[in-house]
Amino acid sequence: MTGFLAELNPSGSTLLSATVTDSFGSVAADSTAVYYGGGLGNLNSSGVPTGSFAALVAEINPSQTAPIFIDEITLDSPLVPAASRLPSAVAPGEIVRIVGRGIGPQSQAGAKLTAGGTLATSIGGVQVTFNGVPAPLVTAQANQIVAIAPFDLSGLTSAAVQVQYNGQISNTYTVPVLAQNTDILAVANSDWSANSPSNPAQPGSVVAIFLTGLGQTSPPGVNGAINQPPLAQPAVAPAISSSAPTGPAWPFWAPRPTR
Amino acid sequence: MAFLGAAAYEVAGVSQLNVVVGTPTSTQGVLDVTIGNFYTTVAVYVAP
Repeated sequence: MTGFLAELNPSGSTLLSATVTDSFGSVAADSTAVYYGGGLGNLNSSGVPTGSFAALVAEINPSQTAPIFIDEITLDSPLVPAASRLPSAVAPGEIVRIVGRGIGPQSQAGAKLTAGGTLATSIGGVQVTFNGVPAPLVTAQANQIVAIAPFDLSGLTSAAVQVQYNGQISNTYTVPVLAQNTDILAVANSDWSANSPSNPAQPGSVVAIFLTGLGQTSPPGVNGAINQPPLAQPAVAPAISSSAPTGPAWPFWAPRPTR
Repeated sequence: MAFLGAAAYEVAGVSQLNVVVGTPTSTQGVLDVTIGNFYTTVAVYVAP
């Protein structure tokens, strides 16, 4: 008994190919809209799996009706390796990553400001909507979009997300909505350099931790607005703790512009 | 400053938590800060 990976046609009725794998549960995906199944069994002399078929993993978009496709939404988590980012819920105002195929230009488009001074909701021909509300965009590229979930999601339990790119509309991806869904964006030392093992903070100094996912603010957040005094505070202050026994001097809770 | 040059860090939805760094117990000088109900932990590296 060995593990195998089988490639099926879009309806799942015809075996296209199969191969032995080192472990059970292999998964594959591509953009050709076929199904892949992984399981325990044997391959006969013709390369056809025999015996039990313990698992079937369906590749998305089997009918190829969506020319562009959202695979998942994850935390932004720029400090975390891409492979470690798992599908996630979103909170109002949270920066998230939309991972997919064909959802933007080959070259990354960056954020831009509108004439009104807010982050644009359309860059590089890309627009993202949550329940029909355009989301401010940070970056957009063929396989990944970084967007800010609208504050309009406050009080909801889920949202329907779609990407539009050059007139094409993606599948609808339903994402759970939480009041808070904390994510770390960056840690800066007092000189605004990135905190790292090779560039540690000095004891007694102030470091700035940049967060997203703290949810609705008071007063309510404005989508894509640049932070200006008087600064909005999280509607619900998050619990904070530290491993340092003699400090830090909490709380020093001060959401504010970075410069 | 280049590190913080991204406009996204100044936009609504991003918060800045200032922390006065204490003395870490770890010999590696890592201060674990836990934030929020989902126990998001961030390592802050501190000089010995």
